[in-house]
Amino acid sequence: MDLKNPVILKRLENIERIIAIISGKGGVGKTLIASTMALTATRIGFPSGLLDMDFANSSCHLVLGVDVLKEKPIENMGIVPVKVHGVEFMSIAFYTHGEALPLRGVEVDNVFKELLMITKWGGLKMLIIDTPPGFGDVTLNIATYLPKVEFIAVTTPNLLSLESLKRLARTYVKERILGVVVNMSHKSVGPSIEKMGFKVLAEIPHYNDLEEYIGDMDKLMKTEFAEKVKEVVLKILG
Amino acid sequence: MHEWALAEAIVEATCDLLSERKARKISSLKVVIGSLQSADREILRFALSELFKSKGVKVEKLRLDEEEALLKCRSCLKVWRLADLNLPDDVREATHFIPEVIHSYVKCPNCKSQDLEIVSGRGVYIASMEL
Repeated sequence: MDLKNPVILKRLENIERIIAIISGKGGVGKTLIASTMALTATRIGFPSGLLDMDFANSSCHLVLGVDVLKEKPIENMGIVPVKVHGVEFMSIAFYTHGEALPLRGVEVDNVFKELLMITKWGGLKMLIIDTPPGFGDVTLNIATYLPKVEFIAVTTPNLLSLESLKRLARTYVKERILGVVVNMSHKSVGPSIEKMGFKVLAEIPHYNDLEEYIGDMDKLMKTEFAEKVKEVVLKILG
Repeated sequence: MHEWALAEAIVEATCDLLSERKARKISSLKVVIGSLQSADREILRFALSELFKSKGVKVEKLRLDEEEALLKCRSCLKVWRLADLNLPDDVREATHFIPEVIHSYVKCPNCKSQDLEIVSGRGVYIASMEL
């Protein structure tokens, strides 16, 4: 008997929208976009949460500037996420202390369910989920166990990344993809993405200095990158 | 009290099954507690009793059994007991919440591989239920 499923849905019942940030390829900026989206939505009056589901290489805490050795979720009949800049934040990194977590399929499944089972989110307008690259266990689990989930796909204008997006367009999650964010853009690929049947939510240029702001959300939120992400948030909320 | 979240998962899953069978009474329920998760037995028992009561479900016999955690190396196939490891308190606390994080902290004592399997004693589960 899988004893976790009914509780997973119960834990998520006070969340209006769940949006998972996905990509076929790694290194496209999912984590930065997911973290900035959660903070932007919260700042404009839509209380949001951020759940890092990249178990093997969780890194949202690095973007948010959270010291996982010092800050911990509170235990209260379950686990209450840490509040960072007003965002409810949960990550496996609180329990791996930032170390690598080498897992195989069934173990990914167990962590996925356990994390959703024990985390007690507040009333949220939006929960943003950061995912590992590719169309693997976590993405499948999100699509299977979270019936109301919507996806945002992230790509770069790179040919291989676009090919991966094209493959995604032929999978069963396509209908739940709200749109595509083109990140690190140096040329417009919007029309070819629209041809795949996707809405382009934003084409965000490549910013050389963006890495300097990782870990300092106050500074990051003042960048042009954050302005572009805000456009995405407003589009999906509108 | 993370045990309450575990108890809630058991009660929700059980009540789903009871609804399907149109039953409100369990004559015997056996729950296993894996030593890796090291849930507090008494808190779990109390939480289960309270939550079943709140759902109007009567459990005539509730048995909580402990299961020893065994780890196995997928590389050299060595099997060893969690009890043989001297894990620091913060690691024990981490595995209490998410048992799989043991993979971040433990290597095979024989070949140092981190490709490990939790053979038994992972967490809390329902072993059997009789209506």
